[in-house]
Amino acid sequence: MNTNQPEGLAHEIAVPKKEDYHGHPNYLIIYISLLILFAITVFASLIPNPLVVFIIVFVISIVKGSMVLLYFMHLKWEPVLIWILLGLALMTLLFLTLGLYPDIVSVKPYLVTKP
Amino acid sequence: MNTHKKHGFWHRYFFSLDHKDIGFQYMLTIFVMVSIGGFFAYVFRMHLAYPEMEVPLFGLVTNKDYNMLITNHGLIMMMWLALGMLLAVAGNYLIPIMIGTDDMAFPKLNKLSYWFFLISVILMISSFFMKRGGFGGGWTMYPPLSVGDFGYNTAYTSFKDRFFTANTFVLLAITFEFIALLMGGINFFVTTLNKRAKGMTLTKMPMIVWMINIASVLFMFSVGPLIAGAFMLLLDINAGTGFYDVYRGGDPLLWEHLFWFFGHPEVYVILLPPLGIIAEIISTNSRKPLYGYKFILNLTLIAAILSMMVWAHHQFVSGIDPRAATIFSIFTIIISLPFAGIILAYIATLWNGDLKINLPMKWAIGAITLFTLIGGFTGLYLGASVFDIYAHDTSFVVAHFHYTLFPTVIFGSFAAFYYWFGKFSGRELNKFWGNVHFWLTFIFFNGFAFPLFLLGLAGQHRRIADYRQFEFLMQDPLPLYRQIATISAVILILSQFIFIFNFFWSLKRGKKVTSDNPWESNTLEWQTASPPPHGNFAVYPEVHHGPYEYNHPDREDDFLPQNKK
Amino acid sequence: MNTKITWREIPQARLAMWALIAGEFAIFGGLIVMYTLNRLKYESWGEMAQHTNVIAGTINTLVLLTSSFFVVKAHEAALHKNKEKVKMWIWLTLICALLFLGIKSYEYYHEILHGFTLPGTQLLAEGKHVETMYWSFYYTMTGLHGLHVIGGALALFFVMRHATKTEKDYHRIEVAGLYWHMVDIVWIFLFPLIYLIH
Repeated sequence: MNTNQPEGLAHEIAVPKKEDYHGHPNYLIIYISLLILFAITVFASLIPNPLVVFIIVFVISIVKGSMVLLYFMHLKWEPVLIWILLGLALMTLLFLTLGLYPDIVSVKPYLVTKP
Repeated sequence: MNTHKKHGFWHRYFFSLDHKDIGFQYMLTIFVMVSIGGFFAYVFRMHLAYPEMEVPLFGLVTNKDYNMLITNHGLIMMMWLALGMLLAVAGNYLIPIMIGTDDMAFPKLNKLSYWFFLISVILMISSFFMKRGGFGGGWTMYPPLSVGDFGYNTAYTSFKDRFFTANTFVLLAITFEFIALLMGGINFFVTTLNKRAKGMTLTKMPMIVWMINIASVLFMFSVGPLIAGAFMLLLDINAGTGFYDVYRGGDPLLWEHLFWFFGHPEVYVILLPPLGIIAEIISTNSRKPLYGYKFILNLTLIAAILSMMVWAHHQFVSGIDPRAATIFSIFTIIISLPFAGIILAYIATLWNGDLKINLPMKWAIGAITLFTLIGGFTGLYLGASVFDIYAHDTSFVVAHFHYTLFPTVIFGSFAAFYYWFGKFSGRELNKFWGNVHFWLTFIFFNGFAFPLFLLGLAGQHRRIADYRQFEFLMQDPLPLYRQIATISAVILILSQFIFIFNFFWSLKRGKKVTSDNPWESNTLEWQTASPPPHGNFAVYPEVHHGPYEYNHPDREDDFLPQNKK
Repeated sequence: MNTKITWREIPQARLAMWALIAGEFAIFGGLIVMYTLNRLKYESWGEMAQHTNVIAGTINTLVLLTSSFFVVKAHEAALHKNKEKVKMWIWLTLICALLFLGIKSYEYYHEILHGFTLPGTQLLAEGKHVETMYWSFYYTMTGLHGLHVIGGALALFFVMRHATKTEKDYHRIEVAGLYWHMVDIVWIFLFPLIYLIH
């Protein structure tokens, strides 16, 4: 084995002290608030205007997703590097959206008939 | 630690977990793929110059054959040679040993990634033998060509007929290769961050380690949307959906966007590792510290982010929004700045150095010369939509990307071969034949690619199998240019046999290396035995210095190994 | 954000999993971006969304959210090397996964019965060309997500069996759990976008 590694990275030990830098929030409270947000989403979908529904639903999804990320996946206690990784993924998607938008949304649907 | 046992054939080539063995497996597999890709290039180049001739070893080239040859030449060279050689082979051989550790963070994952790579190679080769022939839809696989003979407007035939086509197999092969490289990339990333030798801070890592890691992360993100898109194309072929079918509300332009959203960053994915290799070689052989380590690093990071905003310059004539075209033109021209900065830093490294013009140095200088002076500058023209709309899909583009990719991928790989061969095999490559190989490659590469610029400006479209049907393309001196290009290409391909022979002969019979550190280099791989034992180091090194401390004023000898106090 | 921990101190398995998750976000994110932009373009897709089974989708979301909670409890138990509790929470998660897949298959069954298939032959015959792509996206996204559910469940099962049998490698439960949360997050975005916007 590599004798070179700093102590605490050898994985024979279940959770060495050094690795356990996570906080442990009350998972039940987070679970319940996720359920409440979810109920709001479902009721918001009864609004007749699709664009309003879309905005509400998307914002709540982002809140829910980041709650799972921050507390269930303990991102809140992870070092900057992992935030950078996820930020890069978001940046990729932002560039993709900006690049695709003019060629999908602002183009009128083609009216093609079958040859 | 030195438990270097002799292993059997199967162990060494299929089941070994050692990073050097896995790198060697990748290398041999890629040699097979390159031979196929090179053979295809030979056949269609011969056909273009002498259209009525029966090409030796192939026979008469029909239009369908031509499409298949040119498509698979592009795919093999881009996906298997360039990505494989520069990420998988260079990463596997160099990362663990250069950061001073025994192996990858996840050796079994590394093994698995090679097996996925092997599956992809098998799928790719079997696609040539499908009932309807090999895949001929262009290496960019634009639908509806890539949806197959069926197109979108035919009734759904049986699943078997659709699945056993070259289109499906090529897509699957590429998917498997991406999975292999993703696993490899995550492995490199974790290894670099987590297993560095004691004292090796991030800025004491050799440039090549940074470059491979940045390339792997860039690859990982840019490939995501394309994997989704390839899944959709696979369903279009096999399940009868219409994601790229205009009739059903889809748009082939979507595929072009997704493909180039990966395809353009990919160009930088395969440019960065050679830049790292060149940094190692020129710094060692000019006996000077690399000029502006952090400067190069920051420019690379900027370039990596910018590279995700330039992709649509491949689609100026595909019907994208003209306002977007302007934006993409501007970003394309901006992205040349970081690379200009990096090349300037390399020239500043060479400046006033005690230059040792040995073989790796020749390849490295050849690479930056050709890449910058011709490949890079013509890229500026093509990045501007004004010129690109004229030159799009002509031989000018072909010449441009051969001038960018050949110097970086091929010259860069050869520089690495001639530099590190002695370290990893314990034997030397023959220098005389190495020089012959270099000069033949250098001269005949230019002889092959330069006429294509002139042909492209004369209006020669790149995807036409037979130019005899166009009178203006048969006027003098265009056929002569095509013949010069073809003859040069054939000599270029033949001269690679010198290398192949030299490589395998030296591997078995070559002169044993006399020193573990023949170039008197600082980085950690030179401070262990050659070939390195299983586990790489007898005593794990502790790093005290940066990788490029040559000619330190306080010291007598002109180099200072990283692990020396 | 934790600034006290240096990068080197992240356990390597967890780091690799985060890198994989970031890569998966790029894949699913790409699909979601394409779907959303097309959804903004074609208003008639709202009509198609009314044919989805919202009740089944709602139950499925509840199931996945709950399973995420179970996994995090399993992680807590693994920290204390509590073998019995790890087993219990992971089995509950696996039951949730099976429930999710079961409900999903029920939905698929009914939608295919009504003629909403992947190629959308019946819709094409009715002259609804553009609408076929809604169902193509629906099956592609939920199908790809379903494959990830199967993969994550298998990973959790094998990791749990290994950890409880050999009494070591408990950290793997957290790593497989991270993957499971990723699957949950993807569904958090998929569900409202596909089912709820009419």
